[in-house]
Amino acid sequence: MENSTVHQPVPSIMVVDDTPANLRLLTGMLKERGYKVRPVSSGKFALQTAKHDPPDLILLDIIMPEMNGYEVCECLKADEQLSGIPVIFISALNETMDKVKAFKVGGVDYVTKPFQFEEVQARVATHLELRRQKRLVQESNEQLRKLEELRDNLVHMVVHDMRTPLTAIYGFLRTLETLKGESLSDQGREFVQTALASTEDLVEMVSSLLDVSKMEAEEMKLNLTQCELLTISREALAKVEPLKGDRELMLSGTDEPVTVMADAELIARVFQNLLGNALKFTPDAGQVTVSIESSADAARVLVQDTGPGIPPEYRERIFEKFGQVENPANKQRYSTGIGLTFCKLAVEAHDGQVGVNSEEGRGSTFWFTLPRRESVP
Amino acid sequence: MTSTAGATGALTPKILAALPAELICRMREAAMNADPDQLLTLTDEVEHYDIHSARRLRRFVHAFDYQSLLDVLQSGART
Repeated sequence: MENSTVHQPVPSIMVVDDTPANLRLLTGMLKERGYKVRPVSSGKFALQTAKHDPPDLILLDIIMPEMNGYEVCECLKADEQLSGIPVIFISALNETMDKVKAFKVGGVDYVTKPFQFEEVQARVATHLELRRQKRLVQESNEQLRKLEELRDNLVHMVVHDMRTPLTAIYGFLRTLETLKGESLSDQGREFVQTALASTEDLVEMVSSLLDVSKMEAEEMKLNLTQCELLTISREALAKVEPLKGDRELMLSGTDEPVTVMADAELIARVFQNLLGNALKFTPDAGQVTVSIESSADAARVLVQDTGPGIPPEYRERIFEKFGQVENPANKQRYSTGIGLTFCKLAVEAHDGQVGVNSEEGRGSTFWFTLPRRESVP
Repeated sequence: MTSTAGATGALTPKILAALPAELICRMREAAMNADPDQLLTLTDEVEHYDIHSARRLRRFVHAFDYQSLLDVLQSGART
């Protein structure tokens, strides 16, 4: 146990009762226990002084002239600055309905008069501790939110600055490739092609990260046109063909064109991300199958793999930014953890939905829907 | 609720105007905070200026009637 003493401010308790004798009794007892007590004899003034300096807890009588305890509590709960203050009702009313009403208007507890002070003290201590814990959680959440914002800004800055040199590298590698590497050996040409493929991956990562930032800030403008999904899926399959190794890549389902109003470039990248993801997690000799279903209202694209599947607890997290799943086969984490976030935001920007069905040991099916509509929304 | 409105008659704005503005200001703040201990300490200071006013102000404090106390202090401040 630590020996250091952490100074905690003395909790401030407001006691509201129209009978001065009751106020004196409760005030005296609570002060003896070390609390700072603010006795108030009317509901109206209780609201006034609470706004002036919010207490940590309020002990509130119900039957009072002008404004009863229920009304006071309702006003407190309607005020953003005061709504978090726990209110314990303390009243001679002992019918169940009185107590139910007290909770309904926002009270956290109820003590009936005549009371035993030990009971009041126990309830006060409990609710003060609950409030303290709640504040700690809120503070931690706020800190996490700030850290997340800092991380996003940092990532955005780094990635943004990476784009220019990366484009230069990509351009020069392309030039080398188109020159057919005449002065290069066979091995040199192979190196250039590998470097080019890796640079393309990096460009895709950078684009996804920047697009995710834009979509989160709702600054991404969609270039909506009539797109045919079978064509886009065939192009995407061709693009990931070099990555397939011994795995089988298939397109199944309808041969009929499926047309939707969408940003073709974004949707093509959604396909590529889902296919790339499926290939990474599918073992050799496994299968990755794309199918497209069409109904009057929406088109549904499915990318099915025969990988290890995704445990239920990860199925939502993988769509969160930087949320990665470890491949159980080799304990590896793939990618930046941004690809599925990109897919989610891109599909949702089209008013579509994205998700995954998975069975551990059997494989996963990532799917997304795009609404069928005739014109630009 | 104990009414103390009858006690205000003797607390004339003229008497209160004799109190230092800073003391009235501290009393107002203590009343707004519903802090009877601080108010009683301050009424002891009022006693140095006018013992009757201090006694009457204490009645408000003992009845936890901060609103009447604020009203009286306000009338003194306007003088």
